[in-house]
Amino acid sequence: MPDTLERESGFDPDAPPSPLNALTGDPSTFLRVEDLSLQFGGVVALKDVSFTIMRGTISSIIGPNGAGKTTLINCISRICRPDRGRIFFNGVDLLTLRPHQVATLGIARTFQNPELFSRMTTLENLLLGRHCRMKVDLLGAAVFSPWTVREELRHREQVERIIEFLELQSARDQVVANLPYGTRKLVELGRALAMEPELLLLDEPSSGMSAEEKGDLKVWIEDIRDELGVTILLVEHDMGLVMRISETVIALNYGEKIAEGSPEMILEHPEVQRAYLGAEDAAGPVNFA
Amino acid sequence: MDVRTDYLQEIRLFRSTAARRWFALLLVVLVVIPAVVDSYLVYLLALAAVYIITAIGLNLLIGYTGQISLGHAGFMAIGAYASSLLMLKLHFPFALAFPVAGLIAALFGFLLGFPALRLTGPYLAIATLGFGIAVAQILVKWESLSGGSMGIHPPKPSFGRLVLSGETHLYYLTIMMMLLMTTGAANLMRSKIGRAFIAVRDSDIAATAMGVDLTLYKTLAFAISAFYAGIGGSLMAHLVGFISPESFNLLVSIQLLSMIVIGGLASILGSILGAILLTALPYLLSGIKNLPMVIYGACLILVVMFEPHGLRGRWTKIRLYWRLWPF
Repeated sequence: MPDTLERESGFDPDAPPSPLNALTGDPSTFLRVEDLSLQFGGVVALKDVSFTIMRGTISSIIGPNGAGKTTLINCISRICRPDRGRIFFNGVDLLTLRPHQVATLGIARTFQNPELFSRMTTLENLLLGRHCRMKVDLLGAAVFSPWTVREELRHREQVERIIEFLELQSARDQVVANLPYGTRKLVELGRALAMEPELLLLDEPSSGMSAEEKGDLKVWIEDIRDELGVTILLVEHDMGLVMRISETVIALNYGEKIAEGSPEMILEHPEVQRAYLGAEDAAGPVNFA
Repeated sequence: MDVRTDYLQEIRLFRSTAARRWFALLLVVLVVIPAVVDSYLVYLLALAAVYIITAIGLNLLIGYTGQISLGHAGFMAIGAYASSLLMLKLHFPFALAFPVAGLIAALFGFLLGFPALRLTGPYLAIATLGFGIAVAQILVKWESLSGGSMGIHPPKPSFGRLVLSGETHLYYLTIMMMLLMTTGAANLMRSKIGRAFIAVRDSDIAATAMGVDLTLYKTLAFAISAFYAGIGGSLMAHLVGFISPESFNLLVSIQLLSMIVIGGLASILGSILGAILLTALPYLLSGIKNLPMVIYGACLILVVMFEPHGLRGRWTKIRLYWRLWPF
């Protein structure tokens, strides 16, 4: 039997270039996207998109439907492969990695429609978030050695802390397929947090949530940044939420970056207004706060 | 009712004292059975244990990891022939030939895992089907090694001077292996590796986002599953005392699949119940003239129609009923 689990549990020191050597430019640059372009057939999903994200910030990507927001997130988490451009995270070129290695670098994400492991309980879903951090080999797992037990318990405690943080106690032992939509979104957020990421990518975290849940979400996102020190990049349609929590907003339209700046600046920006309200543009309903 | 007070209790194999007591009782029964029943039944029980091992392996792959295989008889054949030939031709002691046979099957499983990276559902079913057929064909044609369609007589297993000859000896060997392999599988499934398997089944996109290496875990699932089938095949060879390519034809693969579907997918208990039922059924029905296969088929249809979660689902319902009784 191939006993190569060790290789993937901690990431291979040889595979990605050392962050220290490859670090270029401003050391506080945390995530840098350079000239990202991607076409699906004739559709331009992204065109020469560049931006940088600083460590410890909350940034949002906005834009009408089909602007390329989710595609951008998918490129960073290596679900999509861009045609051109580069993405650096802590100086590591993400496009040189295999998709699962992105997680081991400390990038976690959630999906627009929760991609949960539907027949597992909330607890088990969150435990999957600990996958990269648990060091268990095949033999240790098969005999369930004391080491494995200790490792299992240690990570369970971490997961319990997240369950408490997000107030998911009542859902803890329920199979996630049976949970309401809003709760499933929270479980997914919890699972991403369980990874102890440095960068958290949230794809429309508030969609399908009630007003009350949205209020909680805002507080949680801020707490995640302030208490856990996680940098957050979110794609969001709810302008109220975007304006209240983000420090930087990046606006996309037809795959191109049309504006970047503070929330106030973005609201005033003529290009953004045109993208959302322009006559020739059949944009989705937008809720300007 | 058992109230859990710490995390350790949650990851135990048996979560209640009642379950532990029942298991202890089962162990006692398994030990004393050969002394009370006739040797044919002992043989049948040993055969059921062989199928339990193989069915659990198949369930790890299909039920837990979501990768279908219709070629598992091929892995059993590889295990059976490897263990027999290592002993006959290379004079390996049983204690060495047996695990090596499992590892050889695992190697083939690992290799078959690669097409599985690109194929899903029915396409993977056909690819694995091809593998199973190919193994049987190769064993027929490669007479110098396998004895062709005439088959071979695997030697009786022995540990030093101790030769396991009678049904009872072989019964204890297979039962011991069955308990060992079942515990191994149950442990695996409550560890990080088992969770990763289920993650691959439920959402490969999310699994990747969690850092689960799909290549590694899919090939690993195939390798482990083939290891179980190889060990099962090897035990069967020594238990039955005769193997030929016919012993591992397509029907055996289908039977293994029926065992886990009827027992319950993604359940170790289900694999056990399914393996026992489908091993016992042909013998229970053999007294009825002309009809055994018809009734056998009808049983399969009835279980699938009325208990989609298999025997394991029925078991869960019965347990719930008694727990809530008399309400």
